[in-house]
Amino acid sequence: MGPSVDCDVISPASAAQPAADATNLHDFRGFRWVDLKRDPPDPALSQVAHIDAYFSRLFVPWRREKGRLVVACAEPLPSHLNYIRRAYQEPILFAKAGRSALLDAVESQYREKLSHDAVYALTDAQPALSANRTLTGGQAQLFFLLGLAAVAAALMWPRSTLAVVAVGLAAAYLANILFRTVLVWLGAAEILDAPSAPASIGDGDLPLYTILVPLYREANVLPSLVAALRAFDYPRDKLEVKLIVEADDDETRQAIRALDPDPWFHIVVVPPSDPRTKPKACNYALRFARGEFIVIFDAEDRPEPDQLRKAVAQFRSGPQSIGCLQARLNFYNRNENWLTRLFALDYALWFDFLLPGLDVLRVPMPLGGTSNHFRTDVLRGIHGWDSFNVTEDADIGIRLARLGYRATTLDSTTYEEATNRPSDWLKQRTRWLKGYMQTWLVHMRNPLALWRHAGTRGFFAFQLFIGGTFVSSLANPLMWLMFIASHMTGITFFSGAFGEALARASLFSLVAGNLLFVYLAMLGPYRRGWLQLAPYGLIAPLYWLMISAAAYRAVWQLIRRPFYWEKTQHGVSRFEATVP
Amino acid sequence: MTFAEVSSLRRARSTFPLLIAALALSLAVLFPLLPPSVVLAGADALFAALIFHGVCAAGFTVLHAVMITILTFAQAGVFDSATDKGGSIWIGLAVYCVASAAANFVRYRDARRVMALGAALSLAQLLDPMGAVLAVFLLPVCVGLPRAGEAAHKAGLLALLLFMPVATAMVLAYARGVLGVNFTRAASGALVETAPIYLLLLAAFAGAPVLWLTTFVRSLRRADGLIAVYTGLVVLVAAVLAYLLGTGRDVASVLIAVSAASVAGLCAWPRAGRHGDLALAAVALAAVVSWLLVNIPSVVS
Repeated sequence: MGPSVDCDVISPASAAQPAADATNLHDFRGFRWVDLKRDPPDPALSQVAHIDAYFSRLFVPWRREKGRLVVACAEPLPSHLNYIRRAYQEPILFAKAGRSALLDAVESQYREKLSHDAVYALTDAQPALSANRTLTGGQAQLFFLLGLAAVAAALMWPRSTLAVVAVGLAAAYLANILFRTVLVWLGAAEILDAPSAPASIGDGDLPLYTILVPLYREANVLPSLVAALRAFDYPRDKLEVKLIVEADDDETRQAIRALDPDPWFHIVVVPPSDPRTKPKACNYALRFARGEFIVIFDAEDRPEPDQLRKAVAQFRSGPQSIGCLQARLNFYNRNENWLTRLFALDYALWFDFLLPGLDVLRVPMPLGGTSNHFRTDVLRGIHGWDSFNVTEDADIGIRLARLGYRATTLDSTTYEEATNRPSDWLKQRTRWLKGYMQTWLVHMRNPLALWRHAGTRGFFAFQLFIGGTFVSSLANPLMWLMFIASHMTGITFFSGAFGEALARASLFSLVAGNLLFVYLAMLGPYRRGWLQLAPYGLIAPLYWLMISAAAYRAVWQLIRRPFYWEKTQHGVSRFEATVP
Repeated sequence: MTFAEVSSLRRARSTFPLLIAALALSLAVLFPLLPPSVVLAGADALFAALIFHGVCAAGFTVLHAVMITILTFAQAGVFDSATDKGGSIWIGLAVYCVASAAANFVRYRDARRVMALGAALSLAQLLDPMGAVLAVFLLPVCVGLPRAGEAAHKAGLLALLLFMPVATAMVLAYARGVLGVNFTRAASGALVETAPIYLLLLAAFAGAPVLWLTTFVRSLRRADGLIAVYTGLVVLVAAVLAYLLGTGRDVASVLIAVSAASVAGLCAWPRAGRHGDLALAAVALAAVVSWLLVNIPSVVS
């Protein structure tokens, strides 16, 4: 296997200096030059405890010569040199090295450790918050006992059991949609549209920003991805883009090389290990990130060019407790077919109303899969993403809240490609719902701890928004079936006056729930002025049934293959990837 | 002294909408269980709270807001309804909610106002059959006043605004036809007697000095205020339709509907706080005229 960190691969470190190192040459004038590719550092001199410093301050102990430690540096800032002197407390001789060669050398020494940490950092540090186990022993016992009790009750009192289950489902169904209605009302406040002030920060005051782009077999979308990243209104010398590719994905690596992108694009090659998930790849690349802030984009994303400036402005103007900003997401190919239109309604509702509503309530916010801007130190402090959770984005939003940080929304949009085929949509939605189930199970391992960390409001919001999402999706077809069966066959599931009341309550939940679902779907595009999409909201109940199909598929997958990541195919739309 | 200038009142201002919402929710949930007199008192309190809050939010002083609320309740229609002697306080609530929601929608046109207008039109149908007439006549006009760049999507906006009232109408029809439950009748007060058509028309025109001012005084005219005026006109149309269909409408009902639209109208006056005395005078005049109107039948007979 070749080097796993292949940074600056387009302008490799060599005697001819890469453009990114041009400034270093001046600072190192008179220093000795070492070629770390030809003469790698002595592994005995490196220490695991310093691994993050090697990456963030770009140095590595190289050799010991004449009683002095020779430290190869790629960035000779006084703060870095002082740090090295303090860290080693012995006579030091500094030497200069190419940045990419240095990163490559460090990565080669610690590849196994880095790979292990990418998978297990969270599991090792906070096992209770990792989805590496789907169910804890206690949860398994509880579910088993509940199942046993339900079967016993169904055998002994079938009608009463059915009534209890039906009422429970109807209540959960209605509570979920009513909570969403409240969130839409809160999120619809126009004050949330107050623009940030991106222009108020001069170029000189902007921090280094790291962009992570996990890629897997995405060679076809690379040209437009690179164009989108080049379109950022942000100083080039303050950007670093990490294109994260899997070790077995030669096709994408070749395509990147062929594109010959700018020196601020780096390739990070993730060594093979299980689980093969996006969060694991991002965790691996997080080690190499040097930006004060970090953002994750998908390969097909088209962020608005001022998004990074807006994020910096919002981070700087807000309290330190804001650990993450979630930009709004929607689709550039929304008008492609009925499915993309419904998907656009779904996203518009989610990102333009529901998440801002959660923000107003100051409750845990499940993040969307991309355009999450983090303070890098906060992200590292919470041990990055959970490699075992297939909606690591939703999980990290909850985890941030539990650890005292806030995620809030950013008034900037990233345009993505909507899956335009039902089969692809189903796979993607299955993964999302499976991830929501994983997230709920992880954070409900200790409900009291969740209550203590998230507060009463946060606890119930979590139940309604995360739990309610998959419970209502699972309940939806059951309620339709009962309604249709009772109307077509005349069978009454409930008897007596009490039973009649239950039947009416159940019917009310079904009707009110679906009407509100339609209405909220129609309202979704209002803020963007895409009112031509509103009438498509009338077929939202069909979309909800599709979500239900995905929910049942998700339950099956959660049992059989909990960490399996169903890849969404990008670059299949006939629409051009642009920011409108 | 405006509402916002007194710190204790400013604090109260933030919780006042929540109290109103709590009262409305309690009434909606508990009304089948409560005695009619308690329900009526609750409706009176809700109507008064809505008027007071709306007038304060428009920028009138606290004193003016209190006086306008009292004078509105002193009008014959509202007074009779509030004391269960005629008309229906529910009509007043329905018309006020619709008129103020429509005015706010025309003024701001944000998503929250879309929801509020849809909810108000649905609520109006629950409170009185006139709600359906309001929806039919009001929405196309609201949508027909587009902001720049909105014209292309009028159909979508109309569909969005129509959805809630249409869905409510369908649910009410289903409940009445299939389940045998009549929510509308449960909430409405009983009609006293059908008034002659000339009296209904007279009540609608003479009982609305605020709406006349809103229409004809240039400094008080704004698009959202004109929507409140238009709501008053729709009330008139609904009264005539009710008369022609033989379902009846008493003078008190028309008066209360017009006075509710009038409050929404004066809340839409530009720089409303500067016209507090004028608003008081207009509402007082409406109160005097209303008592004359309800007494005309007995004088004639």
